[in-house]
Amino acid sequence: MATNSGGFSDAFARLHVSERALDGQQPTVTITSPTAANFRDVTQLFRQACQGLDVGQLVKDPNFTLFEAVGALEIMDPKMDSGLLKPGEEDAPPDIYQPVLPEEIIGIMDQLLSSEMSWHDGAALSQTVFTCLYIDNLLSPNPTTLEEARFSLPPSGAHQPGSPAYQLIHLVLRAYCVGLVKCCDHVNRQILAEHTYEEEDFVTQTYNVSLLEFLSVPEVNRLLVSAIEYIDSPAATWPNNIKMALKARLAFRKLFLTELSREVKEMVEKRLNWDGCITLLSTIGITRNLGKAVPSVFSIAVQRKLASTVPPRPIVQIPFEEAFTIVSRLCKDAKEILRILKYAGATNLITFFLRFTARKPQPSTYVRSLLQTLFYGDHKVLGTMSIKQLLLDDVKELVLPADDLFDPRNDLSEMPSDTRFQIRQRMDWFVERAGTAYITMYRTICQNRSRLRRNLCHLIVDWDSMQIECEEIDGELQQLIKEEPVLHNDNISYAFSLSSWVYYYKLKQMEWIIFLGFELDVYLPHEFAGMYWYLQYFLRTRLQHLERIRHFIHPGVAPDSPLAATRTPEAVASAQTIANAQATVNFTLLEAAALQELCSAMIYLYTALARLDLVKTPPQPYSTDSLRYELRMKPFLTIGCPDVIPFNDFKDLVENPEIQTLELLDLASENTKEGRKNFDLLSKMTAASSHAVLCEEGYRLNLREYLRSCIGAGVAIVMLSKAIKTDTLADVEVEIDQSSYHPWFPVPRISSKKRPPLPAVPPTLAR
Amino acid sequence: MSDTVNSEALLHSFITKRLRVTTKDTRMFVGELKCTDRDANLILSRTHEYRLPKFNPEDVGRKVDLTSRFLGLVVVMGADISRIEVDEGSGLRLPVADADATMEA
Repeated sequence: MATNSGGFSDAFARLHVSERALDGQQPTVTITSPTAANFRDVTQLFRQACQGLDVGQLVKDPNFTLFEAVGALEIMDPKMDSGLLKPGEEDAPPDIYQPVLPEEIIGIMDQLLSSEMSWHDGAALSQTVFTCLYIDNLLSPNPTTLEEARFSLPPSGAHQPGSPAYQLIHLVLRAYCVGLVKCCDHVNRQILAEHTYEEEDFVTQTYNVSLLEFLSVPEVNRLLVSAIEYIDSPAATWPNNIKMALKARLAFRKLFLTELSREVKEMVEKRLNWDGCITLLSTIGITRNLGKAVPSVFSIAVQRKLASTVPPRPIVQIPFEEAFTIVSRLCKDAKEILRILKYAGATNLITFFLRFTARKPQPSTYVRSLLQTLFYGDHKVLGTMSIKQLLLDDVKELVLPADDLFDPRNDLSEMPSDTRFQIRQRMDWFVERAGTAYITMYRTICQNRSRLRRNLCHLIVDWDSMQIECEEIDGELQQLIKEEPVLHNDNISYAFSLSSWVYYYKLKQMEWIIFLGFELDVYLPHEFAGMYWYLQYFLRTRLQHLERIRHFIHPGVAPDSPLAATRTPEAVASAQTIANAQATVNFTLLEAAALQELCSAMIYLYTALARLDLVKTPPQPYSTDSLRYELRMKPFLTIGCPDVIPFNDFKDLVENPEIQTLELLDLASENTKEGRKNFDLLSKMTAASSHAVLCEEGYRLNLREYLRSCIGAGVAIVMLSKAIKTDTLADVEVEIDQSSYHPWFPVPRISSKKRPPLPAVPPTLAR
Repeated sequence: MSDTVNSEALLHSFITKRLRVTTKDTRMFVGELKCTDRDANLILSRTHEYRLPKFNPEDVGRKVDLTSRFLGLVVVMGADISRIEVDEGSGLRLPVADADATMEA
C-alpha cells in the first residue's frame, strides 16, 4: 500500500503540481484523443454486474471516501455541468459580431472595464473578463508572442484589411484587449504574492488560460501607443470626440498597466503616483455616453471550454457607473497608500493602517494586498527599514525603556561574560520574538473585517504568552542594567518596559475583537450591555496600565552601573524624546478614557432598555444566556490577564439590580457628557500629537463619528428619562441604528408611536 | 448470494481503472473509477471531458483532434450513460499497490 497510501487527495495534489508546471510553458487545452484501440466496451457486463448489487451497496476504492465525493461535479446536471448543452443548443463557437462603428468599440471597451472591475470585486474570471468573445478569441490559440496575440476572425466584406473598420478591431480593440489582459495578469500576481482569502476576497483562478505572462510591459505599451497613433492619423476618419474617447481609453490602459506593474523598489524610490490614471478616468467618464453597448460579444458558453473543477457560474457584469466608481476608488486608494512611505514613526503608521482599512466600503483586495507589499515587501519594512527599527521605534514611542538596552556599543561586544553582550542577546531575542508578531498584526489589519476579527482571536493568544516571556527577559535586563526601582501604588517596582509594551498591544487587540463584533453585527441587541461592559473592563484595565507606563517612562539606572563609563552619549534619550513618550501616553490615556466613558454610557442605556422591556431577548429554545456568554468569551478564556469574570458576577455587574432605572439613566447621561468632553479635547489636538499625520481626514472623520454616537446616546437617554417621568413608556418605540453612527457604537433611536420618529443626528451637529 | 459476490468481484476489478464513459449527449469522460453502485452511477477522478468537434465539409478525410478539458472529480449518473469502456492499458500497468488493494477488498 505504500505507494498509494495518500489515496485520492494525494493524487489530486500531485495533479495540481503538474498543472502548475505546465502553466509556465505552453498550457494546452487540446489533448490528443485517447486511441480507441485501448478501450474495450464493457457496457453490458458492467450494467449486469451492477444489477447484482444490493440497494445502497457501494463498490469503491478503499482509499476513496464518500466525503471526497461531495466535491464531485455532477455531469448532466445543468447547475453543476458547465459543458451541458441546452436542448437545441448548437455546440459550435458562436460567430463573433464584428462591429463597424467606433461607437461600438467604445461600448465594448466600457463593457470590458465593467467585467474587469466585477473581477476585482470578487467574481471569477470565468464570469467576467473571460466571457468576452474577443478575449476568448485572443487567448484560445495560446499565443506565445505579441505577434500571435491577435484575433482570428472570418473575413468580412465590411472589414477589408487596412480599412478603418478593420483597424478598429485588429489594432484598436486588440491593443485594448491585450492591455486589459496584461493588467489582469499583474493584478493576479500581486494578489497571489500576499495573504488574502481565495474565493472570499478574490478569485485568482485562471482556468489554465495564459494571461499573456510572457509579454513585457513596454511591448504592450508600444502596441497601445501604435493604436493611439493610428487614431491620430488622417487614415482614421472619425469625429474628434470619438477619437478622444478611444484615445482616453487606450491611454488609461497604458498608464494603468504601468502603475500595476511597478516593483516595490520603484515605488519607494520614485514616489510615483496615480494622477495620470485619475485624470484619464474623468475623460472616460465624460465620454461614456458616446459608447454603444454590444451585449452579443459576451457569452456564458465560453465556460464550456475552461478547465474548471467548479460548477458553472453566471456572468457578472456590474453597471458601468459602479465599475467606474470601483476603478476610480482603486486608483485613489493606491495613490493614498503611498503615503506610508513618508515614514513618521510607528504609531503614525499603525493609525494609518487602522483608519485606512476601516473605511466603508473597505478598500479593494488589490489595494489591501499592495499595502501589505509596500509595508513589508522583499523582507524590508517600507522598502528601507528593518523590522527591528520599526519595532523598537514603537517601543520607544510608547514605553521608552532604559537607554542601555539600545546602546549601539552592545553590538560590538563579543565576550559572553560581558554585560553588554548579555543585554544584546536579550534584545535580539525580543526583536525576533516580538518583531514577527508585530509585523503580523499590521498584515492582519489588511485582511477583510471578518477575518481580521477571527485572526485577532488567535493573535492575542500569542501576545499573551509573549507577555509572560517578556516579563522574564525584563527581569533579567533590569538586573543587567542595574535599574533603580521606583515607588508605584505603595509598592517598590521596576519598569518591565518590554512586557508593558506587549501587554498594551494585547489589550488593544482584545478591545478590537469586541468592537469588531459590533461592526460586524455579531451581537444581538440584548447582548449589547454585556459586551459594552467587557469593553469598558478592558479599557479600564488599559487605562490603569497606561498610568503605570507613564510612571515608568525612561526608568533610571543606578549611578554605579558598570555601563555608565562606556555609555554612548548619543544613545541617551533627549529631554524631547522623553517628553514625546509622555505625550504619547497622555494622548492614549485621553483616547481610552473617552472610549471608556462612551462604553459605560452604553452599558447603562442598554441595561435600562432591557429593564423597560424595550430591547427584548429573543426566544432561545436551545440556548441560555450563560451558554451564549461562554461562546462570546471563548477567545479570552485562555488569556492570563485580564481574566474572564464568572457568568453570575458578570450578570450582576451589568444589570446593576440595586440601582433604580432613572438613576441608571442619570449615570449614563454623566458618562456621555464626560465622553463628549474628552472627544472634544481630542478633536482640538493637532494631527501630529494625535499620531495621525498620515491620515488626518480619516482620523477626524472617525472622531466625529464617535461624537455623533455620544450625542445620539445623550438624546436617547433624555427621551427615555422623559418617557419614564411622564409615564408614557407604552408609546415608546426603539429602533437600533447601526448605520448613522460609529459602527462600533450603534445607538438606539427612541421615538413615540404617536409622533414621527426624530431623524438621526445630522453630521453637522457632531462637529 | 454467490451472484452478489461475483458481481462485486467483477466490479472491484474495474476500480481505479481508466474508464471511458459516453453520455447521452455524446460527450465522453475519461477518468479513473472510484466508486459505483446498483444504478451504475459512477464516480470518476482526474477526469477529462472530450467533446466531438463540429465537422465542416472540408474536414472530411482529415484527422481532427477532440477538444478536451480537465474537470477533476465527477459523478455520472447511470441513467445518463450510453456506453462504458475500460482502458485495457497500453503497456501502462497499474501500480502494484492498487492491485493489492483490490485483492484485499
